[in-house]
Amino acid sequence: MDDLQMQDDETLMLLLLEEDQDALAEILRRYGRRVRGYLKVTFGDVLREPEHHAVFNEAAYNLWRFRERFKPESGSLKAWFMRIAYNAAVSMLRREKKHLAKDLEYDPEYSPADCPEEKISDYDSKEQKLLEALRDFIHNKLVGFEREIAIDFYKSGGGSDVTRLAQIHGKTKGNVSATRTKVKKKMIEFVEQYEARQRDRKGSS
Amino acid sequence: MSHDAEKRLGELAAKLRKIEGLCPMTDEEADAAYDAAPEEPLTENDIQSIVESVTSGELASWEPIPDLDWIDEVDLENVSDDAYQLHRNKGEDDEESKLAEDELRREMIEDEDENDEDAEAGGTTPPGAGR
Repeated sequence: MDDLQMQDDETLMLLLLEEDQDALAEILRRYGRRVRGYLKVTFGDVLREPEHHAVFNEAAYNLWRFRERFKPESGSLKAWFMRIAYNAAVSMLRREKKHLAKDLEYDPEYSPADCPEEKISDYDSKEQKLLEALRDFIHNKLVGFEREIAIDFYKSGGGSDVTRLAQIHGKTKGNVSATRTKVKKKMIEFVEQYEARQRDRKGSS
Repeated sequence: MSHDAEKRLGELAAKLRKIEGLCPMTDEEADAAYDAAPEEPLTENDIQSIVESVTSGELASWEPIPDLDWIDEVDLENVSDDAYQLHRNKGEDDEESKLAEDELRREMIEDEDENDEDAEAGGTTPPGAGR
């Protein structure tokens, strides 16, 4: 173990390619605490404690089984681990198991660190103000279950699995779906009103 | 809630994720997020237990992944009017189609009358008349 502590990331990854389990343990020792901390800070409000453990385990699992797809020239090991962990968290929210599928090992194009979502276009300073206002609306104007559903909506990229949310919050699936529809409507109304106010201001100046 | 409004909300949600430093993280962003993250406890026992379950392949899911890429190509906007027609309640009146149906019915009756007249005048046997 002491020897491994002295090794750089590239050497650890080479050892991992040889299926060295001690190298995996060293990577977890080196980066695991902060990756867990990142998951806790980012998804602490939408994932429950047992889910945090599962997400971290799944991230470590994908790091291990796709070890040969890590490209040191494309970025650092910790960045790769972070993105794998992010994807595992989003999959947990959506209750998707596809990132754990055995088939993926036979798909040479697949990388567990790639973002499954579409490329997000950049935003200008005007839109940034709207986004900050929308975030403020979600976090400070919505309350209770509606607030939780709204945060879950944007963090999971469209909303968590309804069954999961119903179990966590002790609600019916119908209640979760209805609340999500209501919250989405409120967010759209907020955006429309915000944009109308901006237009009015521009018109009067 | 209109399709456009829902689409716009989806785009804003994606940008909100980006503004919060979430997906898709570039390497620089991921490094920065890592450096800014607090440390969470991870004991040597935790690590050994994770290594054991990970290397044994316990977490693998053997369910095949359906190929759903084609779904993106479906544009439902083009068929929304047809869908309304399909879901129209039985017996619900629509003035335009009612007029068209009446016109068709009137033409069919006129055709029948003409056929009967032709049969009487020319002596031809109308369909089914020989039975």
